[in-house]
Amino acid sequence: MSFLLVGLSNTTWQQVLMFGVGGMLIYLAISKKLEPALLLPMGFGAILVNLPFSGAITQSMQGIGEVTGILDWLFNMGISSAEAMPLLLFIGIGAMIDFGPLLANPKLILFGAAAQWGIFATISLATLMGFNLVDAASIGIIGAADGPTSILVSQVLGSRYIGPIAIAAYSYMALVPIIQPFAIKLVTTKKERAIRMTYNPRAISKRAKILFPIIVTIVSGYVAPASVSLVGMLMFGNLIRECTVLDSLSTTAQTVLVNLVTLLLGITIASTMKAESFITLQTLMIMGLGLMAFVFDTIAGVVFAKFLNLFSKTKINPMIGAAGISAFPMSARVIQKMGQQADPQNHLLMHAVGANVAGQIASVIAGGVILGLVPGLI
Amino acid sequence: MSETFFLSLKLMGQGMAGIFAVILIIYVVLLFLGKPKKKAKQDEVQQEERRS
Repeated sequence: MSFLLVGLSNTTWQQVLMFGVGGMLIYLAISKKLEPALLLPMGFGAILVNLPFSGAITQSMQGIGEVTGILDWLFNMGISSAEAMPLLLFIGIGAMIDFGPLLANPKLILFGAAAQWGIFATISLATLMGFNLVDAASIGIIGAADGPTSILVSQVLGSRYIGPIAIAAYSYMALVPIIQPFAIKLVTTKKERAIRMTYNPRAISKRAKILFPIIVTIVSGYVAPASVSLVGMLMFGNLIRECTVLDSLSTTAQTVLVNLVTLLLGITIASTMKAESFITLQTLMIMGLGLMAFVFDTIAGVVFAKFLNLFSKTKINPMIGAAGISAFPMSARVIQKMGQQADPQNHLLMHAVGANVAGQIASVIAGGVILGLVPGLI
Repeated sequence: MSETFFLSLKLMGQGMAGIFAVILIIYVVLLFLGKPKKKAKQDEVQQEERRS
């Protein structure tokens, strides 16, 4: 009967710690409602892969040979092979996005670009901490504030840290309401946060909304070809939404597709959370660097807005720049709330939503640009 | 300072330039797409008048 105790006798303290990590992710998902669609399957998956001789991952069995585990199979088919899962997720995300506020106020798109600086600042910081350029770039992309982009870029670049990167990206996205106010207050005064902005949106035709995703895909494809899969899937989802002849598919993409792919993505990413590769000093460093990436993004957006104010007659509330990250709609809500804290009559929501949507476009472009540049530098 | 750090600075320069380049083109596209139809038609009429 000793075979019944083989698992128990082969349990290491690192595996027990990973059960704790998995339990904590499940707790955060259920009790704190932090990105539950992803953190819950990741937490459960962390337990699955760290059970001794777990059948959920590929094992070599005596007398039988190699037996493929479901999580490894999902990883190979869904992520390693053409990054299918993150890209499918982008179709759903694209179907969720209304580019109307951006089309109505085009200059807001510039904030999306500025706020991506946090990615590159974090890459530099990571290299100073000893990471090679591939791992540093994979860690820096946490600053895209976009979970699927982070997973895709780190996978394509072949980083060893895809698990911690995914956890950091999704955790800090959920923590935007805590991180951004802190970072914004570091670089703004109450007087600046109280700046009011009038909202005079232009009328946008249906044709413009349909042409936008097509043109953006073509433009991005020519300037940054590596971004085509990311931008293309995002814009394809948006085209389904805006064409108005596929409403049923649009609803499915926004709900069923997103939920299902996120669920599978979460548990699949967990296959990389094996104790021996997860419990390292590098994991802690990645969590710290991910936090810095969000802070750098926020500061860069605010500083860029202040820079534009030097040349503009109508002042922009610098906090709008901080909304240029991809964490939608959390970031826009944070800016609206902070604006009203500084001046109860200040309504910044629509401007912030426009910048936030710009951040969603810019983050996938940033992912593509990094994929295009990093191989040439290593 | 390590060589990797200087490479990361190069990546920062090229990356931000690349992102701004794409975004600026999209900005121009947005301006074009958002151009009011009436105004566009008025512009066309004015251009035709000038030609004639």
